[in-house]
Amino acid sequence: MSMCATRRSHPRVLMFTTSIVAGLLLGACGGSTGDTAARTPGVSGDTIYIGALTPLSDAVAVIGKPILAGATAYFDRLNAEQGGVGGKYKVKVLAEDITYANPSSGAQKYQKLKDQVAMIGLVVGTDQVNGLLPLLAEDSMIAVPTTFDAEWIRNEHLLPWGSPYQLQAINGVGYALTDGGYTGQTVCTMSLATGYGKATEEGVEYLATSMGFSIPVKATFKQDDQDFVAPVTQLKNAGCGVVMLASLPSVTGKVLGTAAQLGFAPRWIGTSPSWHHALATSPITDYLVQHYWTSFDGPAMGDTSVAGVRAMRAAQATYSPDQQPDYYYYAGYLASFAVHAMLEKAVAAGDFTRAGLRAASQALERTTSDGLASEYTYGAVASRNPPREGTVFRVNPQATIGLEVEKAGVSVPAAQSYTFGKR
Amino acid sequence: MRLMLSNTRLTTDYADDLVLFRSRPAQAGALLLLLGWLLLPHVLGEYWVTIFVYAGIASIGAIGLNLLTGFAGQVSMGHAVFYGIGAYSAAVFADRFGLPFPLWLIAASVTGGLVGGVVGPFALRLRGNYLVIVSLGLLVIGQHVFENWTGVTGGLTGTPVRANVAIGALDVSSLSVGGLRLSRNQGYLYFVWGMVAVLALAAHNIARSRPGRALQAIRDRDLAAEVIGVSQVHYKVGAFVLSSGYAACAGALYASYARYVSPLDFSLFLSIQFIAMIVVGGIGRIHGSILGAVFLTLLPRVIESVSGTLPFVSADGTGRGLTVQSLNQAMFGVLIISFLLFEPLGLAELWRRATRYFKSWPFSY
Repeated sequence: MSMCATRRSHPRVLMFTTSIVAGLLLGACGGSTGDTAARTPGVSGDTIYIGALTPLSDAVAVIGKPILAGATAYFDRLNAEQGGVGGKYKVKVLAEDITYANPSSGAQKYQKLKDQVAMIGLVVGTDQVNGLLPLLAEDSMIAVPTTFDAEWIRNEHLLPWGSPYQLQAINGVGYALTDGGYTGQTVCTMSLATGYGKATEEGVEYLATSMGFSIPVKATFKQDDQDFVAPVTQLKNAGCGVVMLASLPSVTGKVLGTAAQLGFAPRWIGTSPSWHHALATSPITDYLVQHYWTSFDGPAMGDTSVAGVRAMRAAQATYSPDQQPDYYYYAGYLASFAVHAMLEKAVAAGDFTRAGLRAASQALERTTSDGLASEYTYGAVASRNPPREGTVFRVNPQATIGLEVEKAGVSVPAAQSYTFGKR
Repeated sequence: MRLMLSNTRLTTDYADDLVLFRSRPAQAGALLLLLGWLLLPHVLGEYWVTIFVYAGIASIGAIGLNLLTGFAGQVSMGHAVFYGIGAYSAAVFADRFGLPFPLWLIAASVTGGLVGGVVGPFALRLRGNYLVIVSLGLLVIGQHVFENWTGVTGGLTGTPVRANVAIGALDVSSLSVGGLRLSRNQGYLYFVWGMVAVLALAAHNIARSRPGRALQAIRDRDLAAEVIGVSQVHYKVGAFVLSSGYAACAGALYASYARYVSPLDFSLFLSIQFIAMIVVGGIGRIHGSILGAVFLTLLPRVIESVSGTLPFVSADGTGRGLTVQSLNQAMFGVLIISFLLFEPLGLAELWRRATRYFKSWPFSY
């Protein structure tokens, strides 16, 4: 095969081209990528900009938008009532829309944000966080994952918060098998085919090893699946009495609706992202009231005896009045406690550089979140310890976000012994 | 290297046909492309540099699909699988076996090509819609393997990839030219688009030489091609090997650049996007693949960046009107329908018409 023409060499053209190339390469010496070390990205005067990578327009926007609203309301309240971080620095959230099912979209939008922000205040999507990790390491950037994979806990570029999916699963299923009245029942899982689903499965697997039971069915499904008869039938045929569900709000109703139609009624236990308050007033409300629990760490959103709940609801009414009471709003608001605490450390140290913020993330000792979550211990990465206990909620259409406490302070032994690190 | 330039406008022998840039405008266009390649990384911000890197990677995948679909006439929905095989192979060869560049890239491309060779024989028995369905089956099998072969792919959680593009001290991630330090994105932009040029040239030469003519003969009428001595076994399987090799090469570059891959990256939608790229760009045109890939990669980002000025779009999805995502999806569909209806030969044909108009100017009628 001939790759090129065989005749008519043109030395003049070649020389011209070569000189252009050489000229450009040399001329580009004064280009744009030179000295950036002295600047502190994302801090302008008395304003600290933090980034948010969250789905705002795809099917997962039902999660992404309230999470962003929660974080924005937190900082709006902080700016208005306390003058900002350290009473001086206002915090502004710069959001970029990502596509949940396309892990590279987060990495692309990160490039857009990275020079404008001091840190990434929230990232939605376990696979999105995985895709960002090499970029965070390269830029010495700190990011706050709004997902709960246990693997985040030991990563020095992440500032995790909340109860990991693994522990949500361990506490939820563990409670069902002990005090919950499902002792001896067959345990199965049904998970979204993503890193998030896998993390939840890992929790049940750990509990299975710890308590000595097997998991006959680990059904999976995809976000855009429309028919769930096959996986639900698989669970039904295996005689599953307890099913740990890792789903998304757009799918949970379809999964449980299929189960109700097929007459399959195990004890469903969902992770925090599986629930949406709209499910509490859906055609399957009765089924949910009888068969669905949710497991995560925190009080009932309607429990106004908790100071954090009162403050959060006040912030919602004042700064995001269009926002419905929602678990995801709560999550965005709660994640911001960690961001705020870290920024306070950076203000105290007077260092907003990337290195300074990283040091601040390690200097952080613990956050208590005004009772919105159990205490999270920070410090050096190796000694971070998330809340090991959790709350199991049952469905009540009259309750705020459709959930009321079934059992608070659940902490099965496996949740205490679970270790965090790389897979 | 023998030069591909000529200032002749008359074809007087076969060698003239082989010249890539024949006219002065074509040569000037090539120089402009070269200038664009050199300047873009310095003119664009990091975000747009990133988008152009992804567009370059998509171009390589689209060229591969165009060889299979545009030249050999074999429609495949399984292109995303070969792309994924390339990505995971890069992780295995570079990370676990420790192969240096360019060996991991070659090994990943060859792996994709070999798997394509296994699939190729199906095309000998099946045509048209049946082949499409079989390739869909391949996609489902591929997804299943990606999700469950945990030891290699990392399963649902995916796997980090450490496949550096570096030969000795020359590392694309930290290039330095004349004292100027290039960012990783800028280095990859140079490298990926250099790869696009090399692979497009190779594809172009394949298309216009004996194998290319054989593929086109099969596309137009496979029985007639067989009768005149074109081996279907040889060329159909060859087309699958070549196309899969290109897809795997693109996937390996994607993995090297993104440094993390998961099964979500290789969905049915990716296969559909590749088909859309060659439909919009121009079926059976190598440069059409590149035009289509760049166009469809940039379109959503451009729509997004101007969405604030469009009254019917809610930029952050909180207001009324279309979301950016739904506008992008609608535009994607409208574009494919429009090109199929009004310009089935795609952007490449629009470009050819425009150049022909100016070639004969002022007598362009």
